[in-house]
Amino acid sequence: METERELLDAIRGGERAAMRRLYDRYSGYAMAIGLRYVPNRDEMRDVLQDSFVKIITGISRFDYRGEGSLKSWVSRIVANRAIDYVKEHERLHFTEEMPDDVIAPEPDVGEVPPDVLDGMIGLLPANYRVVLNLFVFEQLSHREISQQLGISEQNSAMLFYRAKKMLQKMMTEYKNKQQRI
Amino acid sequence: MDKWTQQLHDKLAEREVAPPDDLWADIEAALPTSAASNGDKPLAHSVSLRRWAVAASLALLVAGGGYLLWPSSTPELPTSASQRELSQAEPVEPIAPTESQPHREENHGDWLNDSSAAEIRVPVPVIRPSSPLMAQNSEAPVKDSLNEVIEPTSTELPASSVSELADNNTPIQQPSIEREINETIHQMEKEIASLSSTSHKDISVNLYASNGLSDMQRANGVRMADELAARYDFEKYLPHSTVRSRGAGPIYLYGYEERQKHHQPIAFGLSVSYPLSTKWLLSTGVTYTRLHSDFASIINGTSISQEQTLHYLGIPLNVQYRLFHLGGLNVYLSGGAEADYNIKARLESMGVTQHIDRDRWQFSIQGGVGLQYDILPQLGFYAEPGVKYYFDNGSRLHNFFKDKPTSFNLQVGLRLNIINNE
Repeated sequence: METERELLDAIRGGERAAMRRLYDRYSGYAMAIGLRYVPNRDEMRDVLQDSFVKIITGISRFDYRGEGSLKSWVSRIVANRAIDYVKEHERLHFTEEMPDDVIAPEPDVGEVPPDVLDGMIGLLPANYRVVLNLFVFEQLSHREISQQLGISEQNSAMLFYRAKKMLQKMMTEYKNKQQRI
Repeated sequence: MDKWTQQLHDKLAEREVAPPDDLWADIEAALPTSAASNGDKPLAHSVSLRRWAVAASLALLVAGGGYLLWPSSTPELPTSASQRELSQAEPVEPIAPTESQPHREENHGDWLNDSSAAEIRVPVPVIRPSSPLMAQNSEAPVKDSLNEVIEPTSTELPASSVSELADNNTPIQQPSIEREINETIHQMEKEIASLSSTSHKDISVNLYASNGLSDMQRANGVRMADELAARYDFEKYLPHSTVRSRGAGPIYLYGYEERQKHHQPIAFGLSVSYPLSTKWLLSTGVTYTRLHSDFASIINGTSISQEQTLHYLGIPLNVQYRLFHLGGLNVYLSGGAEADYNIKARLESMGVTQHIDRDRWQFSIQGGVGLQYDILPQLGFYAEPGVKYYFDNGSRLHNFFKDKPTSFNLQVGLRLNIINNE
């Protein structure tokens, strides 16, 4: 299998087919990331198109740091473009309210199919969705999230907590329904 | 990161979803221009042809309506055979062009200036060839014209007029002229009677409520992309056969569907009507419209619901044409356009309220028949059943306007006629 280094060199050498190989290799991965921010497939199409144009035209500035770094770079560009899209099209409200302290058992993630889980994340309010994605999948700290979104660290933690509880509630309802069938 | 969060990450982090089939072609097409700009600039999106079509339609509507409604300063005379012959046989001194046209807004006699008033004035020269009204230029003073019109209510004709016509070898026989005159006078009396009941109503104010006549709802199955389905390990993730395949065709997620219900739009408003002539009225005002929609994503019977509420303020512009009236009942045709601005958009999901992106300007055209019953001369009750068409504004919000662009509606209201008794 072609390494990221080889693929990168081919693209930088002007090989058009190599761009298509980059797309074929990472578009499915990028689509899954983007859909967790922008659940509408039609809207996500625009996000993915803009992201790949940006990736290909900006690849000369990419700093290769070993196998896997190209994939990480692709994921960051797609996530950033998706966040920009959400900011442009959905209003992000970051309130300072404290979360309700509800103690409930955490449902097993393994019992919910991945596409259903993705669908549930897509149903979260935009601010919950963005913070959950940045914390869980981009693996940013609440300090980094607060800097990126211009909110307080406490606010980021609270939004993540609420997103998690809402997601768990959906999963529990899904699981209960499955058991009744 | 706690254990649960880590599990979530592990389950979804490496997940892949098939991108749209033809996306690469679009990316490739966009590459040369964006590469030139070093990829820092966002891609330009082409302007939808539909927006231009809407703009063009509105421009045509306004221009066409303006052409039809613009009061003509030189109303065309009816071209009946007898008239043409008369005008050829008896050249009449034209009125001096220095006479100014009376201004439309001067007083309650303004209706005489419009085209329907011209219909009354025209036949008069048959009786009085020397009248200034016979002139090609019909810009006679309003009060004088009124006198001239009302005077010939007597059916007696000056003998000289008839003999003059006969002398000039006019092919019209005397009995037919008399019949024509009688008909003309009768028509004039009818017109004057009808005008007397309407000409004083300078402006009317309407308070109304409007509602659509049906809800809109639908449910869609959610299709799994073929590429994804090919890679999907059904046995591992869905041991209870929650996926069903329709032959070799597309695979739908079993028990996973999306439902949407768009409730009837509720609208009310205030409008002001201004009479352009005895038959034509122009009305505008302000309208409030509320759209409410329910969305549900159903995953194996578990429903996750969302409620969307959109509030619009609109400016309608309509023209009305009075067909006839009988006693206190008026029947008219109404048509026009409306521009609605979305002032507030809200989405409630699982008890959390979000302020979502507002809808774009919404343009619509409408037409209908109106019935108005005047309880008092100053106050009438009216009902307007009609059809409304909403243009696609290109936004991605799902609402009643998009799912049912053509809808029947009923507007009911009270109309306050402000009467000028001067």
